[in-house]
Amino acid sequence: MSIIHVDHLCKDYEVHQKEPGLAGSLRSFVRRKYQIVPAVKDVSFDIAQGEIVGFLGPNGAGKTTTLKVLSGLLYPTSGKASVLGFTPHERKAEFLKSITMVMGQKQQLAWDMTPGDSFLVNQAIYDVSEADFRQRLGELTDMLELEPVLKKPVRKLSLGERMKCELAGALLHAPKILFLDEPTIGLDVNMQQAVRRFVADYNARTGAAVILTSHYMADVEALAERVLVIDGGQLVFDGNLSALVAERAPNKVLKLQLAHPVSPERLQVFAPVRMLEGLTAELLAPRGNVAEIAARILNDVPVADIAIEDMPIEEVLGRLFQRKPAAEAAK
Amino acid sequence: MKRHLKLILLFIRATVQIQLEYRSGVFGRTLANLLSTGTSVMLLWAMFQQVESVGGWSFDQALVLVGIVTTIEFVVEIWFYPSLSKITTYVQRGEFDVLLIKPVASQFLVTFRYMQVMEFTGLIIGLSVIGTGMYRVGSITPINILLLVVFMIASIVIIYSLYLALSTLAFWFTRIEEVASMIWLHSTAGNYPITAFPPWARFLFTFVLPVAFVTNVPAQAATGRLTWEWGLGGLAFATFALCGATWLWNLAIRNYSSASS
Amino acid sequence: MKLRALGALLALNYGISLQYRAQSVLWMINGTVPLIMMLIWLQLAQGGSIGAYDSTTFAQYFLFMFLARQSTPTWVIYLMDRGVKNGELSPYLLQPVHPVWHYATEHWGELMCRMPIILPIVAIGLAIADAWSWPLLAHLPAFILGLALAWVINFTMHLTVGLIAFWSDNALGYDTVIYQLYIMLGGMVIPVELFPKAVQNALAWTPFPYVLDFPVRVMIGRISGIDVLTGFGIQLFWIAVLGFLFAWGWRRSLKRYSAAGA
Repeated sequence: MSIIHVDHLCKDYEVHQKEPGLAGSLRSFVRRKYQIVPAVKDVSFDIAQGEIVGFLGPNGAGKTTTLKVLSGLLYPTSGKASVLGFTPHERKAEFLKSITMVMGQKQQLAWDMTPGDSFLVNQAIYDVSEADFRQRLGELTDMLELEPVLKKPVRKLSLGERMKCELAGALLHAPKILFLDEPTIGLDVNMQQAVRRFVADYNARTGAAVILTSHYMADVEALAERVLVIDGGQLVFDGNLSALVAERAPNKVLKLQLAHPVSPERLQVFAPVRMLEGLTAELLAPRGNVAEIAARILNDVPVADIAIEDMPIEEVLGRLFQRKPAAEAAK
Repeated sequence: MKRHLKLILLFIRATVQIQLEYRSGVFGRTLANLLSTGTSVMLLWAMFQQVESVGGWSFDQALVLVGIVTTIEFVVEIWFYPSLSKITTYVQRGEFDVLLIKPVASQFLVTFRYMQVMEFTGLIIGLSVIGTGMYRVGSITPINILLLVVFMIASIVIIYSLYLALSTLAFWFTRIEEVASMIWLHSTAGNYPITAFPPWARFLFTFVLPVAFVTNVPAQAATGRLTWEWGLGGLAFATFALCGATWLWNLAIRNYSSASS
Repeated sequence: MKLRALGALLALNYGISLQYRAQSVLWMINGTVPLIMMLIWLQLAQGGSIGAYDSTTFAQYFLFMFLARQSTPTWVIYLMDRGVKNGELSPYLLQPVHPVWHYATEHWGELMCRMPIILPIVAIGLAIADAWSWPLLAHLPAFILGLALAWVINFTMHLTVGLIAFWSDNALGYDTVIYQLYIMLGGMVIPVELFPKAVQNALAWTPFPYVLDFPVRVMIGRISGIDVLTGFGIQLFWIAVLGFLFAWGWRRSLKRYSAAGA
């Protein structure tokens, strides 16, 4: 059952333009030029209950904009978005009570008070009964190991502790949909993993849908079975991660551990060499005949070890996005 | 010296560019300036509807006072407020190190970095009110104008020193944003002759919040009623204030560099 | 708006304000205009009463004016400006509670911290000036009601002007504009009754005297009987007008907020 339905969604921003230098400033003071920048162009998709969906795309691709339209912060320029049967930008109380949004770069807890104080406020604002509040807070405290930080002022917490409290505070009203905008930004690796584990757990436990954007591929890889790749405001891919790799990366990576040094020319014969450093080499082999190439290498070259891997997802995406400007220029 | 002048010009240029971005701000501030001066003049007029003189000053003499307050407010608004109030922000965000590693004296940087010269309307308003008052008093003579300029500079030095000293407190008390706004008390108390207050308040407004030196002395100079005691006192106070504020600043900087890691 | 949410927000904001007591004190120093003016008028009134005001009336007027001013300050334009510029408004918009309640409770929390300092100052002032008389106590309920309505007028007016923040980069300039209008028209510098008659009549058409001068005059007994009720009526009228304006502008401004990229 689909709980989010997006139909030909477009969102334009008005940006005022300025030329550099004092003269430019003066000119733009007198006559200001506005430019319409399309941030999201004709995007359509559906998300079902319980799904975890990752939004991927370079900076400024339109990920956050889409998220903000879905959470009701932005009015769409055209097209339709419907979330749990509501039109998000009407911001009906019932709608707001069933979603939550965590922004890695914006904090929502009161800076000078303890997280516990902010939680009480959220309890009242979201109209959570005392019993539910206790039970949920207990659960969240356990899952996120919040016990030691609940009574410290937020300003004294580390970034990671603060993010965990943000998550707890955002979930006290048991929302049906979680929007996570860069939830792990700035966190160290351990903390990133903790947040990921928590989100996965929470999703499994409550069946809440999770829609997240992240710079860290690892977040998306660990959490999302399904990804939406947005580039230049357009949806360029919708499907699961492995399908993305299969579709967009025609090559697999052959990793060789050599027994003794070999010249690049000798490897070049089999497939393009991506990297050769001392005794390690990486070759790019077309998906279809990677097995055959590997067999030939094993016959011809002194190899200590061999592994066949998918292209790292970052690289697949990197290539996907890199191609874009060139294609655009060609138009 | 030449390098510093060049820097000041560069700073002004950069600030003007920023300001041009926010064009409605200029309009809002001009409106506020006009209203604020209009308010003061109107209130003064309404007050003089009820009484003949306030603290021994006539309406026209008090008008000069209002003009001087407007001019000084203008200087604070375009210069001291935008520049010096940033000190608090720097300290709170721990960005002060960025200033300290620059090869220019930090006091110079915080003083001149953000002069918003675009908003010159306040100056025009202030000077016209002073001019009107002096004309009506009949005190426009070269010597009075010269004295006015000298004591206006002394006033600005005093205000600068006060502002700097108060902002410097941010190094010790980080949550102090509003301290500097105490300066605005001048715009209320300064609109009236110091003699309009009861004796104990006169003392307060002379030495603690030096309204007397900042507004009364230049107004006396402009209306040809300056006594040499007040004149000398004003100059001495300005010198003393500048030295004190600079000393406090250097103390704070030393303190800061040794305390932060 | 659930009462429970209001209570929780108020408790939170009171807690926050308590941590910034120093800041509150500075705010108060800044709000001493009525006290400074009292000094001048008392000095002027030494030669006999001015208009209908003698020294006692001046002392009463300006001390209660100080109280009124300290009960009604608002920095909501600043909050709105910051909210729009840094996107701090977004988290509020995600909650099923109108952001206005966040702003209002922040003010009330601060007010609760401030009053314990302001009230003694007023009391001491009245004692020193020998301006207190017990019959004034009878006006207290009307004074408090008038102040509460005044608070709402003032807050809604600032909220409405604060909407400029959505449309222009510098709404703060307009905060000063309103402040000037208050000084000029509210009675903070000159009691409204001492303005020339024509000015007073013109003022009666604006909301400004109803924020400061009206409750103060009720308290010191210079407005009484049916005129008090009429005053309340006019206060309610302004609340309705400004509230409507704000509600109307808020919807349009939000659309604009999102157009510029939240």
